[in-house]
Amino acid sequence: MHLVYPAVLSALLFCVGLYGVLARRNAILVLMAVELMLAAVGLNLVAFDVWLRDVTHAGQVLTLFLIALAAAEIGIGLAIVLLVHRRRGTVAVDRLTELREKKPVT
Amino acid sequence: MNLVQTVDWAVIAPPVIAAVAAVALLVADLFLPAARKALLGWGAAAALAVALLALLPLRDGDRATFCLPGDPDLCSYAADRFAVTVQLLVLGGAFLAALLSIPETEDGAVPGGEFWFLLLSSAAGAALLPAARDLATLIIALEVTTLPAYALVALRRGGSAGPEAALKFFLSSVTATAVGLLGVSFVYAGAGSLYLEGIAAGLPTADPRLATLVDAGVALTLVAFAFKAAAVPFHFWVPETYVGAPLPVAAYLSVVGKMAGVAGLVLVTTLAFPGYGDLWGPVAGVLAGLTMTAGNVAALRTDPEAPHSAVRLLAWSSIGQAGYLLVPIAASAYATDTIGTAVAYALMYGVVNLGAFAVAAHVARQRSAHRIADYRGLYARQPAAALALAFFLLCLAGLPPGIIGLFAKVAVFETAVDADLGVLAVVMAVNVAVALYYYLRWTAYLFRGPAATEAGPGETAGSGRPAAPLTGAIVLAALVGVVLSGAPQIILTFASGAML
Amino acid sequence: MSGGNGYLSPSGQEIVFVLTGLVVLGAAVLCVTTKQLVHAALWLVVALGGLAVQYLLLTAEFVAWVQVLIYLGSVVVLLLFGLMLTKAPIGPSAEADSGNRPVALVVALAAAGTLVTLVADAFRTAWIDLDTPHGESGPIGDSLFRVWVLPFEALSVLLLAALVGAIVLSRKDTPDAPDPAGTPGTTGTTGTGPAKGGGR
Repeated sequence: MHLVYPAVLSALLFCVGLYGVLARRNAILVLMAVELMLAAVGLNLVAFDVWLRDVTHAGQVLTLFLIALAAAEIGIGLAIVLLVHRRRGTVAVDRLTELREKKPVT
Repeated sequence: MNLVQTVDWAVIAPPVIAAVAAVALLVADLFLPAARKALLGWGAAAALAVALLALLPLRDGDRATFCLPGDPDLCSYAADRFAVTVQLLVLGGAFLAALLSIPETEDGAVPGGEFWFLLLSSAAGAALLPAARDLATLIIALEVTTLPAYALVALRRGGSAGPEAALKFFLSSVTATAVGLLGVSFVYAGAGSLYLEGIAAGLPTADPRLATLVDAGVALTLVAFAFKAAAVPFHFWVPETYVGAPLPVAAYLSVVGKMAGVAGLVLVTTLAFPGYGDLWGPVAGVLAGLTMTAGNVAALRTDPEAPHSAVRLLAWSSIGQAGYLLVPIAASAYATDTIGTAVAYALMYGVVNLGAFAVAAHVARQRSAHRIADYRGLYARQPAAALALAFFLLCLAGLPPGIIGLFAKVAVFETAVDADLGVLAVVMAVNVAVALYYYLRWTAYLFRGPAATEAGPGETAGSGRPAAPLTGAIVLAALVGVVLSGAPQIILTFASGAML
Repeated sequence: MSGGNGYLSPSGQEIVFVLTGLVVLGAAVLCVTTKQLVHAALWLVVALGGLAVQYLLLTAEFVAWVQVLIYLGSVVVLLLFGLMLTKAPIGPSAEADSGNRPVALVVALAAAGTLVTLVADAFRTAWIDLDTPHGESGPIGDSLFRVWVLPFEALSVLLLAALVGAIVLSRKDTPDAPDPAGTPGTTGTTGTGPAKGGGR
């Protein structure tokens, strides 16, 4: 198989995820977009590993680590999102402005 | 055929001790009666002290472990001088942050056992990072450092600032990690290996058609670490996160979190991409200049009367200091042996910044609005704390009697000059001069007479009793700072030796 | 590395890869653009499941099954729970997209253009040899436990930290928790923000 196919798919998927991170307002939807980005990187790593026929399987092992990392981050991320929802009633990232520096009144 | 890698436990002791202690404290929390929960904090500090002691046998800097069976030169963990020194800084910083945290956990504002677990596991990750010698371990160590920090930032009972800060920190951090991992995948395609030494060997002989791809990969890999080091343009999360988090967590992030990012940058640029200095050298230089300027300009504009302006100022000042830290990294593209200066500056910055946060924690217990204006007349109320803070601020500014700060800044300036980075040297000089204003303004507040109107909003009466761990932290930081100021040749020793 | 069949006569695997790739991309685009929150999670399932098929095509069978188990089995389930617990509306939601959509689109298109050109140019003559499988469970397990032990163990600390962190953040505030001094929400700021101190 030509390496271009997985590589291009991965690049496009990464950019779709990037759009989601920048455009989405609901924090959980942003998390979904980040998952797409990480999955794209995983595809890249696996394709390169198979192409290189790496003896240590570095790419595939790193993909496994990446999947575990994504699961860990989703776990803690959702806990934080739920905490924000409990305290503030909203999970829209552009509505959370309490910590912005207030301009002096003078 | 041996089935597993050989592990030299003495070499890997510092991160392992921190991690084991983390789990032990979590379990101990189940069995301790409520009256004795305070022991957990002292247990955490003791564990970090033991981890620091475990560094002593490694100070020769020539041991490695977790090596490839077929190729003993490629190791995942190397305890060389750079790793051991950065581990000293990281574990020492975590120790001071633990001391700062003990009063917070005592009054029930944060849940005890879990807090210590998260802090120690983050410290374990930060201790693993400078010794990691392959990209998989490096990225995972970076995540082990920051993932508990997301929880730590959100961890106060009640209030909504912590969770909001944690959410923004989390979302921007995982995006930066994803971008960095894309870079890692491109570098892997070019070099065929994830070991830093393997990459350095593989990249020059890579297929020339992959050259642009590898360039892109190198640039993107730096993004993940530049974010944690809060370099411009990845610095926006810092002030909000520091203000929303509990103060000891902000202190911990400002030193240990930043150091993790900087150490990662050093490892990746110096060990993995030494031949790409023309690519990352100018980029690092530009980042350094922009970071120090952005940090100092924003710090200048902090309003002393605004709530929490003290923490906000410390946050922007830490961004500015990160800019100075990046200068030797930029210089290492053009000159040799500049990393020692970066490490020396980081040591000075770590001690002094934690000391400043310790005094801030002390004052915050009495003045909950925690504005810079609340420090007015501190010398009259608590002369020792005021003098300590003045010393720390002057070290950060680089003025006598903060001799160590002055020496460190001069050493960094020299690396820029030696590497012919004239523009960067000028920018740094201008920034140091500009930064004097806000450091001196705060120092001046300390020695002014008390304001005519009485205390600002939120003064809590009667909690003026200093907490023992806070006092201990201030004293320790001040002692180290003064000792280093009295013997600045320690800095020069670092600056002259080869670290990696 | 044997040369492939060339651009004009793709092999069977390439055809299946391209078709699955189109499904993955379509599902991903729908995931980030749909206004229905629960549909977004379900499109994510399709996208990640399609990726598992791609891994199987690349002969990386262990990674494919781990992808199904963990990404589809737990990550998406957690996301759906998260949507449920934050009371996501059924049906189109106005909250789904922020005002940055045009800028985001420009940035994403620019990044896509750059990356695709970069990648297509670099791998113009690179072929993967799929005749011998390179990713069976045995060899992966071998390298995982003989070469990559250190990051594996560090990952276990990461997972434990995520677990403990998630639990401690999700606990209900105890009713007798002292009012914390010094949170920006409770001291005299001009801040916005509704209820403080527990919010129940």
